[in-house]
Amino acid sequence: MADSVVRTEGLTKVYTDFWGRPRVPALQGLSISVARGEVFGLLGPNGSGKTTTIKLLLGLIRPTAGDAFVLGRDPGDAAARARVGYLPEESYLWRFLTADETLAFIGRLFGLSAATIRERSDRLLAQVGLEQARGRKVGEYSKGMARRLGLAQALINEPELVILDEPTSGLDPIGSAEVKDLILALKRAGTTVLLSSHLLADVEDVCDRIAILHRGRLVELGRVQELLADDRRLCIELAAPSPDTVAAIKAAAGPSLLGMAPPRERLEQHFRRIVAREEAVR
Amino acid sequence: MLGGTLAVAGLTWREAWRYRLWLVPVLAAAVVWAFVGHAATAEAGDATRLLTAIASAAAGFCGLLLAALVPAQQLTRDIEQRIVLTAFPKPLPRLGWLLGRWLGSLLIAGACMALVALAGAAAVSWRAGGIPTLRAAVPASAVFRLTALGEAVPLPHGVVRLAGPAGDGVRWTFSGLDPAADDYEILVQAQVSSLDADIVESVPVQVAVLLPDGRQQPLLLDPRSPYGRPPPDASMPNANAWLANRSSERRSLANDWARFALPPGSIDRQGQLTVQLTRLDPRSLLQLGREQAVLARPAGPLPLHALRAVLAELATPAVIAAAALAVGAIAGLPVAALAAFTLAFAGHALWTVHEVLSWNEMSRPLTRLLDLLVRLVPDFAVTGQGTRLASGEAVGWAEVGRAWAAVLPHLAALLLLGWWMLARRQV
Repeated sequence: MADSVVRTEGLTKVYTDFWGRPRVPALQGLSISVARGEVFGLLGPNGSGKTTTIKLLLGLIRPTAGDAFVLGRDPGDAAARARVGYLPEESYLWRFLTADETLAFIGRLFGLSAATIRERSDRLLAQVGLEQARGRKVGEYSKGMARRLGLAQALINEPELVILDEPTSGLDPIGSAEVKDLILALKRAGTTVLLSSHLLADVEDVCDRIAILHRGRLVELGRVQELLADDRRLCIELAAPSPDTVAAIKAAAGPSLLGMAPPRERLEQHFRRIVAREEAVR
Repeated sequence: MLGGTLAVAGLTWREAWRYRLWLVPVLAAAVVWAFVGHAATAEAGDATRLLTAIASAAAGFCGLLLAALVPAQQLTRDIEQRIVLTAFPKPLPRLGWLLGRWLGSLLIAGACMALVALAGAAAVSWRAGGIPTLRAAVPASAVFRLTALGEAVPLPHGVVRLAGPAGDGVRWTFSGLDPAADDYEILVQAQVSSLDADIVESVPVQVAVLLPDGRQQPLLLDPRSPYGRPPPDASMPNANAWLANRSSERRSLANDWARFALPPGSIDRQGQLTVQLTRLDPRSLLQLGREQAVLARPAGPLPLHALRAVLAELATPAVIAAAALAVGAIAGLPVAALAAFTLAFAGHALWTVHEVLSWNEMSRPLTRLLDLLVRLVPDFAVTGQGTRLASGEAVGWAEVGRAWAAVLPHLAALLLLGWWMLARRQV
């Protein structure tokens, strides 16, 4: 695991009350490893420990037991943090700043030069579709716009590891699809992405591997294709089959045939196609 | 870390500006100007002094208010609105974040105080009919006891008590002066008492300058000097000042000194000046020392010193802001603001604790408790420059340094405490 970007060993977090008494076991003995260039999904219902895991990886909270390494370093190490981008589960931003000012401020926290900040801000704001609103205060943004800005700030340092907590939360289907496209683009560029979500379709679309958490425990870990594969069934897709062909297949399959129906477009694909058509008309 | 800290300081400034905190100094300046026409006193000079004191108090209050509220509000909002989830994963350490918030708050408090101070200086200048020039006190470089026979004996330390036959006195030497200067003043005060049980209101003395050619020239008391004037029924040949008792705490250049204008040619070519005081009444007892005579020289216009006074007084908001941040790191806005204001009031009222302790009438546990309080709470009276400005005395860089040095241990302790608390805070 020499090229592990993220590695945890028996990572455990028990939240305590003011007096230090154990209260909530949020994460128990998590051991995972995320390879460089991988898109890794953390799945689980609410309260399963996804956000706690991310906070531990960012050094925002300290583990009760176990170890975590990010880019081979302690999560609290400034050198590691300089190479990590993070989008929280909601866009916690400064309402009185504009998008430009927000990115400039975050860029300065990373020690970037003014020219670099300007160049990256231009590119990122175009990428997340906020070019027109860059001079408006964040307090005037819709939730989706703030989410897009949150994404831009997570990428201002051109990170090696991007941690995205519910990245599509608050976004419309188009925005969600764009975020997924962005994640795939990051993957193509060799960036490692750690994605936390409970929207299974999002995860399925972009992740190479996933870890499923439940009540703080790791219950499944593996490649998406392998986990979802069902070798007891077979799908055959045919382009405009003739009735004879259909009848022949039915006859050949016999009682093992479970069903035949024309394929359906996914709602997301359908929605995107409709919107694209309307945009083209305008 | 420095770049990130400065970025956070800039963010703090911008946040305060966008939330219209500039209204605070504007309102304070308006309050000062509202007093311009109404500051009525028995003497014309006192009105400007009163105005200066009002402006100083307004500036100080402004700084205190902003130092308590701005960092407390901003840090608690960062935490409660979970903005720290965006900020803290960045490479800037939490200490940098805390220092940035502190520095930004200090800049805001300083700018607002400066604005009010300048508005106050403008009001005073308008009322006085011109920009007042403040004076700096130059201490004597050497002091001698003067016997009745005219012999000068060095008096390197302490004070001398003059009693018995008249004719003795004290001689002060000032060095490093500009021989061509014609606007110096000699200021003299004394601690006086009587040899018998009678109450002594004032003691006649003669203050003279020793000219470079060896002659003595009695000085003329400035008619504006409230101290040193002869009582109505006074009659003492050769007396040019009547000194009432002044304790060592009373050192207002305007009120607590007999002021004498220095005649031209008093300073020799080496920049040295010698002044002597001769006791004239054998029944009186005079206590004099090195600090009982100073040379006052013009030290620049009021606005300049008002700004320097802001730099000195900013030491108090610095401590208050650090306290607000330390508490804000673990508590909400009301608690943080309350803690900051409590410290502000305690630090400004510490002299009352000193006074209560001096009575020596309390139980031992209470005395120890108050003693501990005196040691723990910073004394903000040290940083205050209002009285100094109002008395027409210059605020030098030494005062700025003294003010910051006085609060430095508390400041460092509070910032360290804030850092420790913020570092332990799990967000």
